[in-house]
Amino acid sequence: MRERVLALAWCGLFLAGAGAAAEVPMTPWGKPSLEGVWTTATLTPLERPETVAAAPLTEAERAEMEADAEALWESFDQPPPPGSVGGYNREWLDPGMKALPDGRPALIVDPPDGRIPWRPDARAAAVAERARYGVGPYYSFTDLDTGERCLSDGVTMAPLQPYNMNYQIFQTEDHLAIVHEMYHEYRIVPLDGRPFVPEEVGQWLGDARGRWQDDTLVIVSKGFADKSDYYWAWPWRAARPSLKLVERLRRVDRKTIDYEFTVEDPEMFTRPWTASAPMTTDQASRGVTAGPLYEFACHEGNYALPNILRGARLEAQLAGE
Amino acid sequence: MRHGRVRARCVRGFALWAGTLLAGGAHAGSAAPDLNGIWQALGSAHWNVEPHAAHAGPGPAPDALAAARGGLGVVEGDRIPYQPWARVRQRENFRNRGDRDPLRNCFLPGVPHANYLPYPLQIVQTPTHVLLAYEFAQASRTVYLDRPGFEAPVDSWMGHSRGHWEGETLVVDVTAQRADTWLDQAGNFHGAALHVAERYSLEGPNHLRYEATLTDPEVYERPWTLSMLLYRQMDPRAQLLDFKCVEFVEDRMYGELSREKPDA
Repeated sequence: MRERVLALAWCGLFLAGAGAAAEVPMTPWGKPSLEGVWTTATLTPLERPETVAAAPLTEAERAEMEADAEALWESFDQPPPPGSVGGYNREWLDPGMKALPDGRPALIVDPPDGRIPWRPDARAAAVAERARYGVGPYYSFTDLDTGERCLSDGVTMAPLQPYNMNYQIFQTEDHLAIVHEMYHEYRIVPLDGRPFVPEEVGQWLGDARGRWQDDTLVIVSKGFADKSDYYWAWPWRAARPSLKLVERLRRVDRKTIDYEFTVEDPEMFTRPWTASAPMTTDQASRGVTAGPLYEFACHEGNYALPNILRGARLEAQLAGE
Repeated sequence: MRHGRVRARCVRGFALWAGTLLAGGAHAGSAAPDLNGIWQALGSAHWNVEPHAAHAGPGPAPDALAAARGGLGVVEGDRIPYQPWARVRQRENFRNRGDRDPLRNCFLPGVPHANYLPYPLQIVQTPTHVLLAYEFAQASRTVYLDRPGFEAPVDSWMGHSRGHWEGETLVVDVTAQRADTWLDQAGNFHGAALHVAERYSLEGPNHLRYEATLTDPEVYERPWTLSMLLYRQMDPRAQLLDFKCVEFVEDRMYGELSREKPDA
């Protein structure tokens, strides 16, 4: 008993001196806890826009960026121009409204220019894909992107959508589960050192394995299904066997996980590239809604897809085809 | 280095102590049973929760693989105590199951059906939450163990689940489910007023008793209970794999609106 009191006193002294480290919640088995409801939403773009210098934004520049975003999203509440059916209004959207406070011009940190190092042929294909968006032609459901089909927008927790950039993490000693609000996808990552599944068991989000490297959880995903024939909103996120993804999660304080991902694919990029997208439990600091994850029953209510095809058939009929 | 080790031990010791306190809050004193793992029902409740003989699948020329297995039923007292109009509707559902069964469109399965699909589910259990992840359609639901007053913000396909431990049993209240899901492939159904009281209790390390009491005064004469075993997948390699079935039903759902792409 006396020994225990002494030990407790020792520990008290030690932890009091440990400062920042003690702010990191720990699991009962002594690993940093990654549990919680997290968001990656931010105004800071994945890629540095070509018009922006590769230097940190000033406070004034960040404020201007945030004001521009407010104005843009407000405009979504205006009636659409004649001939347009319009899109979601502000009520349906929950975009990140804050630039990251460190002022970085892009989430991509490597290469240092903040740009995706596309191979020229892959860039051309991506540009062509992008040009199809909202334009068509729409012969079949496969002419809609995988997100519009309620399947997936692909891997990573990069904040690319204007809503649902929320993730809930559950952690046990041998598994990490990440529930993505978008498309109610989840990933259950074994941490027990088991081998990857055979490659022919291709998976949409890859086959993920995690291991602790000091206080960082490293998740490697490979064995992606080949869905490269589909149309993806972000072609670099498309499921394809040549893709390998490495994600690093390090809890730095009560509110923050440093989240980094490295994308490798020699068929698409001239070199691996890395982005850093800090995750926070402080949704207000990013200007998004706080609270638990909602069920995103996308497919169940997908009226847009059949209506787009219906519209295309009607247009063809009117054109006398 | 030595300081690092001392700190690590202190942190670990403190975390163990705090973790015990936390778990103790939810479960008086001792540790909660560990339900983590991959589970699957083996019976035929998926085809019909009531006792039934094997029968042909729906459609004009069904093949052997579309047929339903026979089953002894999982309903206490064998028959669901439907109100008379609801039994009529269930029979209509059965006759039209080829068109009406929402699972055929890869819609989220709802509770309790999700738990006895012929696909595995994985439980990820922490002191404050239980995640039930289902292979079918990548459905999941979060059971909140730490938020008894948390009402459903909105109705959903998989419902709103709040749980607590009663001794060795995980008790889950499921509310706010949409009326669109079925209880099986035989057209057994519920309404929007459905309340499901679930009980999960281990019967040995690899058998999980699943009981659900369904109350819906708009559809049933009285509350009724179904009960079955879920079995642990023992293959050490077992993991949930994709069953993203949206991809498998798009032609069924949108094929009529699609056209061949003209040759470029």
